[in-house]
Amino acid sequence: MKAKSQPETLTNSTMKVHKGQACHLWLLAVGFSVWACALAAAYVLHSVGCTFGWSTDTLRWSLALAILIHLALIGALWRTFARRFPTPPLSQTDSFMRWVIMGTLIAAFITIVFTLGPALFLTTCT
Amino acid sequence: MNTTIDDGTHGGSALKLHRQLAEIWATGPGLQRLAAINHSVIGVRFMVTAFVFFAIGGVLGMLTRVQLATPNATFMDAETYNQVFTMHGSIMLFLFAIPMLEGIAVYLTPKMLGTRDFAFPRLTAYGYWCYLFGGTILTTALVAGVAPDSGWFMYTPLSSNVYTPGINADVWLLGVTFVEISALTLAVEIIVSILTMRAPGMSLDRMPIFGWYMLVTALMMVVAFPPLILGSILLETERAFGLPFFDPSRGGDPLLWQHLFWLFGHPDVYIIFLPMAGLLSTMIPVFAGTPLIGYRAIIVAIIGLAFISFGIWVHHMFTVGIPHLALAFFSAGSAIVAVPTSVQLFAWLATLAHGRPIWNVPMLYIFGFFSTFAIGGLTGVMLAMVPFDWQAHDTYFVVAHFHYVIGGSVAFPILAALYYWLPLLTGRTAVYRLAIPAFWLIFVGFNMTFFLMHLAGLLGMPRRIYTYPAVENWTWLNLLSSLGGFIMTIGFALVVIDLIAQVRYGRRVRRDPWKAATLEWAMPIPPSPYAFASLPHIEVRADRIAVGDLAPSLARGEGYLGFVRNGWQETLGVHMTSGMPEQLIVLPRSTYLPLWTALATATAVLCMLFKLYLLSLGMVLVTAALFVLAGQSAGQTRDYGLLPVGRGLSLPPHTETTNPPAWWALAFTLVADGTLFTSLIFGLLYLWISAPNWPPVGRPDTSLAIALASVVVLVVAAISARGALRAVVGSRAPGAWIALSAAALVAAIAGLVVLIGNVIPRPTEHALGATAAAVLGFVVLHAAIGLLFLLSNILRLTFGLVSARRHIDFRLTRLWSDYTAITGALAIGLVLALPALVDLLGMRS
Repeated sequence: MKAKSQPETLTNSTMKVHKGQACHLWLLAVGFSVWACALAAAYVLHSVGCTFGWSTDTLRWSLALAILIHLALIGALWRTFARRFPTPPLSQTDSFMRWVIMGTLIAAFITIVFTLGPALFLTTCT
Repeated sequence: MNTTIDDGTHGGSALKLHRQLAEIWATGPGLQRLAAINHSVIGVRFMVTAFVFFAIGGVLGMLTRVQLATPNATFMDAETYNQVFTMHGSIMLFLFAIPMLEGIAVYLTPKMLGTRDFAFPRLTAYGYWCYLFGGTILTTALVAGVAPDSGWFMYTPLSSNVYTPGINADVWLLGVTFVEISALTLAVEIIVSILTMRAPGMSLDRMPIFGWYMLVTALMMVVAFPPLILGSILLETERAFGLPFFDPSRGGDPLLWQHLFWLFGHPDVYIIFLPMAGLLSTMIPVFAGTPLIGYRAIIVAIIGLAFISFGIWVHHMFTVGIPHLALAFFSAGSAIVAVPTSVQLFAWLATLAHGRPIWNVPMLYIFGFFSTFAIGGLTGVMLAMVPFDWQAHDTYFVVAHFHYVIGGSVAFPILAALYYWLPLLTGRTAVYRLAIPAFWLIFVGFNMTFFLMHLAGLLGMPRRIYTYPAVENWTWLNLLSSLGGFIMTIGFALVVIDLIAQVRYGRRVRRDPWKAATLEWAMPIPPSPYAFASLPHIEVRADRIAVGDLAPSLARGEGYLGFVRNGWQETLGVHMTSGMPEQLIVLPRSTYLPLWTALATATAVLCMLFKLYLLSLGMVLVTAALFVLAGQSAGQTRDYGLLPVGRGLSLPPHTETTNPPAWWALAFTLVADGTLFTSLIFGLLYLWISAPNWPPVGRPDTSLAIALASVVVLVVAAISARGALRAVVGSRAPGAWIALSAAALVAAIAGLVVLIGNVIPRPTEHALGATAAAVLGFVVLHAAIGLLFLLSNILRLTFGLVSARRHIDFRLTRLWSDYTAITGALAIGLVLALPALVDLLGMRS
């Protein structure tokens, strides 16, 4: 009946083992949540800075600091998840989750650098 | 409900099992069809209705092309033309594209995931009726000559009372919001069903790629629609009651509408594209004869795409005067969004290159998609560049671009999918005599119509003009464009004839005509209302399944739940990540309740449209009462403990678990609600920092005592809700806690109403007062809904639907009360901070 191999007898105890190995789904969104936070922070800082007449240097360094903080956060997440998922991983699902989480972290890091970095060299409030 | 327990050991032949299940799951004949809640029935209704609206929108599009075929045309006057092009865009986006993807999701997702239905079939039906009634309101307005006429994105001040004094804009604001309620309900339903109702063993890494696409899409919908719903509510209250959210002379800002609209509008493009990409990712491996390449990379790409699509809403606003530096954020984001899109395109091309592609009609449309979407994507990157956008903004170049993106990403994949899944829908194979010429007519007509618009735009032709002078080069481009439109229409007409012919004369097939490897083919076709006679256990990725071996076994009842029990509509709930079975889910039977509830909602909308506000409020209360009533017909009147579900496994019914689908549904509903709340806060702060005529003449002033008291009673209500839950779990009477919680909520409402009544400046005088009143009104509304939760608790206690093990209702109330207390404290805190914020404005440079 099973999709390919012979049926496995499922019991309530084996279910608990599977559940214990499972990862949290929300981790898949962590990397790009940091990117979204970085974008929001940069946009807000820029709006506030321009409205209240911050000097160009102050505004530029504030933006740079905000971006660096978010990049550092991605780095910290990388370290955390690298430790969280042992090698070799516990299960095929864990391996999959690790791959996708790490993939999103790398992609989010690149996205922060690409979308927010070059803008720092432009004129600030014109 | 029948309370005897069948041990579920009844076996028998596949035919006997089919008859038993069909008796339980089937929709009745005649008028009983109006009570249908089955996903196959509702899914088909969604798709057929969406096609009807597509035809209406298409005719409107053709009318615009007739008008623009020649210069100085008098076929339509400006007034009529404005209504026609506005309704063309609104219908294609809100009544065709989004509902079509919902219909496809409703019909296909449960089948692909190996379950028998969605988690909340009554909500699916309610969503459909809301869509149908909302769409009917919009199209009836067109016939009556009072259709919306301010363009499909309803920019203020054009759509404000001053420039659109009739009900045209109200029709759009109320009708579209009504349809979006449908979209939101379905989004929540799709998320919860995908996460908790897959076939046992289908861990996330085994989920078919279409499931991933729909999961990400539905999550995007939950976050994307609330800003537009909020914007529509604010604009409608401005038009109806004079609250100046978008009126710059009273501290409002028309750009706030643009922000709220595009916070929805840009992700919406990807909300439409991703399900289509999911269909392509399912079909291409079948025709290539090899599994999809880059499964994991595609998942990373669509997660990234979902997020980035939200972060680039400002690229629709490059010309409104935003400083260069901020423009650069959004310009770079708009460029980089092409990367995750390209990952998918290259994965499809690699799959085709790796396999031995079979040329068939769906593949024709897939290649039609590749070419048109590539052009639309490239012009998208061009428009992402600020200097180019400044030149091309509001010209026909933009019209060409988004028709390539939307047309390419929707029309061609849908037609490919239609031909691919037609055997599943009808049980008949395709006859391709008309399909191939139809494709070429559509493909040639599409490119002729829209490619030339690029050139017209580059030659300076602005969009949304009802006629134009005989400018050299505009004339022949427009004439050919209109000619192309007619060729495309003939192609679509041929498709319709072809489909009718196939449904009538197509050769009958048994199952899996394409030799596909996904679960929707592991059932008799057309599908039975219960989808699977028994549920499979999945041990490989669910797009690599040996359908031919699996299907007969499932039909014989050799999987989970291969029997009937108590006349229940049963399916299984699983762990979100591992896919291990956790609960037995008993679904509701057919009922007219969704129809009545949608009718009540439609009446409320219509009353509001005709400014019968008290009657509208009454119908809102009727709608709420029907929702509470629906809650009383769900659940069990006794504890069952573990029940056998087949294959040696026993599970508790969902009513006796801690996190049944209803809990997750409320959690995701609160995500949507939280997005709306955040958008409201954003609106207030945006006006504070950007709008003209700030600060207001009168300094804001709020009673600190009443404000703090309101926060305290909201917290008391939340604590009481927790007390009620603890009492139920401890088998004690929760009545006193419920009474305390209700009293606290009533006190909070009273306090907040006093605060709203004393807002300074007055809500009609300045946007600060209006937004403060809106923020406080948000809390009042949630406290009132909290009272409905408590009412439902009392009713369910009375009907015996609650016990120490069956306490989900009280957990839902606790979750809602906690959320209300948190958002209430934030909202009231912000209102208290308004004087300080206004003082800060004095420090502006």
